[in-house]
Amino acid sequence: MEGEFKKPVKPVPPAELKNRRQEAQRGQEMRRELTGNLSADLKLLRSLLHDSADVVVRQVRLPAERDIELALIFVDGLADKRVVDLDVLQGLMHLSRIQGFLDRLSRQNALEVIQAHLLTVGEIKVMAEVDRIIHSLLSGDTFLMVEGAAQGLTVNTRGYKTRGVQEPTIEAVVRGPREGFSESLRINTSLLRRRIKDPDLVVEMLTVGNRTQTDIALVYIKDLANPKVVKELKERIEKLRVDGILESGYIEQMLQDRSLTVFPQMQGTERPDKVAAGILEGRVAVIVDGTPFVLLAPAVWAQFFQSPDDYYERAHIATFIRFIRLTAMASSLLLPSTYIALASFHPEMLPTSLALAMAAARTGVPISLLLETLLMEIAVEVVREASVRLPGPIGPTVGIVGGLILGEASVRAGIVSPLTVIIVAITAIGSFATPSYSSAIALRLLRFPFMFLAATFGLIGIAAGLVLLTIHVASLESLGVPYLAPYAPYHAESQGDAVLRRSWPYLKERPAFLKPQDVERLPDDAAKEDSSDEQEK
Amino acid sequence: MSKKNRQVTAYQATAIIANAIIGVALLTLPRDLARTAGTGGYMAVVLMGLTAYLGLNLYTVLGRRFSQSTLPEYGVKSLGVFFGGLLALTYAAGWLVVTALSARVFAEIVVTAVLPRVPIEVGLMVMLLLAAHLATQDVKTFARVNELFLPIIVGTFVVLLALSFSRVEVWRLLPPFGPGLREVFTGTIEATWAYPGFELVSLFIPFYAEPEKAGRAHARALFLVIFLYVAVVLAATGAFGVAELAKSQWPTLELVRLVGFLGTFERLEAPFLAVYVITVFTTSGATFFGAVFTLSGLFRLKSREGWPYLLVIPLYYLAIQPQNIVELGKVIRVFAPAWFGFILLAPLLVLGIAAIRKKEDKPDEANQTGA
Repeated sequence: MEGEFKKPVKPVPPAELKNRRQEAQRGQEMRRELTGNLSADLKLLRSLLHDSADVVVRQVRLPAERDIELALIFVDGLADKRVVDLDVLQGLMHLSRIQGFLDRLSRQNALEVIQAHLLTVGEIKVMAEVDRIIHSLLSGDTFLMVEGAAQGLTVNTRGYKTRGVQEPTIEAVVRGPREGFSESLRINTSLLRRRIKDPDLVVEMLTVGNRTQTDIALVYIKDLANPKVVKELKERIEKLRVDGILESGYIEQMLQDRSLTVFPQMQGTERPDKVAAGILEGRVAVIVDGTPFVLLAPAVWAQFFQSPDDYYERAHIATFIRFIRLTAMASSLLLPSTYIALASFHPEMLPTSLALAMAAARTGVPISLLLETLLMEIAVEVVREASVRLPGPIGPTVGIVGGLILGEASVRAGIVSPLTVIIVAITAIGSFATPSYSSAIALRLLRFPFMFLAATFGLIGIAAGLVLLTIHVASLESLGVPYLAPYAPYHAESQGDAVLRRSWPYLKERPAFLKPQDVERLPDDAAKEDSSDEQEK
Repeated sequence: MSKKNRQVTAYQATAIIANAIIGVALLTLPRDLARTAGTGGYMAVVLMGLTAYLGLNLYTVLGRRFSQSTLPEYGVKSLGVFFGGLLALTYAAGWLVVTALSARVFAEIVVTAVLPRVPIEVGLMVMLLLAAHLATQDVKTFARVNELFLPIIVGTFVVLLALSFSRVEVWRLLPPFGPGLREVFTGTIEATWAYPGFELVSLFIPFYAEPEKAGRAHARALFLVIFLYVAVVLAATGAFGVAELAKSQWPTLELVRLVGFLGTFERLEAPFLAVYVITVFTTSGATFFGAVFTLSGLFRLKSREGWPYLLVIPLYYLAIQPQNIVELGKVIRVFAPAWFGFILLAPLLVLGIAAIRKKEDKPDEANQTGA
């Protein structure tokens, strides 16, 4: 037996593969349809599904004038068995007798009578093309065939297990809804519909992935979102040729304008309120079935230091917190490199007492400052990664062992200076204060090149690095929207919601750089009422 | 003639010009003026600024007349292929020389002031490579980068001026009109190194989203520069006095040395020079960008990626030619007035010939169709 496995699997020769693909294509073009011969059709469907163990076929006979042969086919686990039993089978086998439909039934009208009178299910479609039938079967529908009819009924019995709506784990807020998206696309669209009861909210369905046939929904407001963006996004998704889509990250990476960058060009979020706010600004949401992370496009850099609770708190507090976050982001990018630059190149900048204290703390440290800082930064990254991978109850232990014990011990042992530990700790905390995980990790990655620049050229090197970074970020665009908008190009009218967050009554306009069809957020008369209120006071 | 994406905003236009003008000269200007014009240095700055403003307006007028062409394009249109091409090549060569000289001055300052262990060649190479990287970008990225950097540059100098205000003694500024008119006029020749850069607008006017606001945007930029120069010259003169100033090597850096910040940072040269990286970068990057842009337009190159980096090699050799800083100063003193004269007279010539031969672009249709 072992010898069997050692033999290499013969790869399919390219010519054969090509043949198969062409055949598959021809098959799609021909659009095979049902024949009306029940046993032949069943055989065809079963063979297309390769007689898989989870495909269930149930044959029923209705005793009308002449017996009518029926067959149900569904995939176990995807279809809700209660619905199949109570609403489909019971209807066929019970209701038909009680209500005397058997008299009306004949081979010719069987399909119509069953559809009209016997099935107590909400969504039924008549189908004949085999490809569509297979697709709906694999989505959890039940297919009902009648002897002699070249069509069948697709009954919506989808009822697979999902996680349900739970609190989002990555993006926590102090104030705001506790609901998060889940893995089921339908639940996710319903979460959005419940927030925006606008008939113009469009949910467009696309299917991507030759093998996974993943459902993807584009959600936007028809008379608000920039039609060019919607069109572009749709075209890009339709052009995708992939085997499978398992997470929205696939889509994000395949749709982005530039691949050579560490910055996310679409915003992934698991918060329905964030997505709803984005849609109301004129953005487009991309929901991928099977993941709670929904994409918002186009994305700009400013979004990555904003959090939904900025909009729920009072304006002054929100502005203050945004400043804090910006400081945190800047420190997560630049603090270690600035430390290296000051200590090794520009000690004259510091007050004499501080410079002396720094030098004293470093006496006895055997390694260079760059190496010391680098080692500690990598150690923190390892601790972070370990605490993500460890199961919940053990996670905090890593923090204690890694952070407290190791940090304390390495200082005591004289391997690193206490100041380095302080700097590294502030850097780590700063990077955790960034609301968006994907942009926090981008900054964390970028701080390493900055450390090397600082060790070679001091502050001048950091400035040169910042120049390069600025050029790079300024050249990015997300679906035609400059990544640095509203700062570059500067939009004076959009500054009310950038670093500053003005109070809601004054946020009368949507971000203009997204080029929504309607920039006014509050209609004019509402604004007038506001001002008259103020006058009365 | 290629279609142009009209998306440079008025503010970006202001930023491009102001950044292109403010450059390495800012650090030596007070000394050169003190040497020649004494306390009347600021008048030389204003005088030269007004001359530069006239020149800038010439380019604006040309940009209106040829509303869809850049300088090499309308040069060819009005002077013919040979002379137009020659003109464009002269501009490109001049910009490359400015790039090399700026980078060299920058390297000298940085190495002497804060990085004594780094060789000058390395500082030079860093600046040239940064400039080359900017030159490979497209116009909108260039505009955005400038727009982001302008507040940083201006803000730093405003803070510096505010901090050094307490050191200014009014008596050092006397006599208010300097030693005499002739000295002030000699001073203007020193100031010619401080103003080139405005001629770069000739490449960007056809990209303006609101061409009708061009005049105001240009004026805003130039008056910002004049204001900054006058303030720096006055502050340096008031803090050191003419006699001391004439002997100092980098007077503006000396000004930085005088001030501390909040009692926490004792010496500010390093962070100041970090911002100065940006200041020089926006000048040498802009001139490099202009040269690359002109050359690619002239030779109809489709891409501006990759090959600009090759230009770094000849520029590097050009920049290390002067043996020391004294020789570098001499080169600049010869080159700057000639270059300033050229960028003032060339547009006049083009404008004159275009008027005689009745060449101009038809009204802008591309803008209406939203190209």
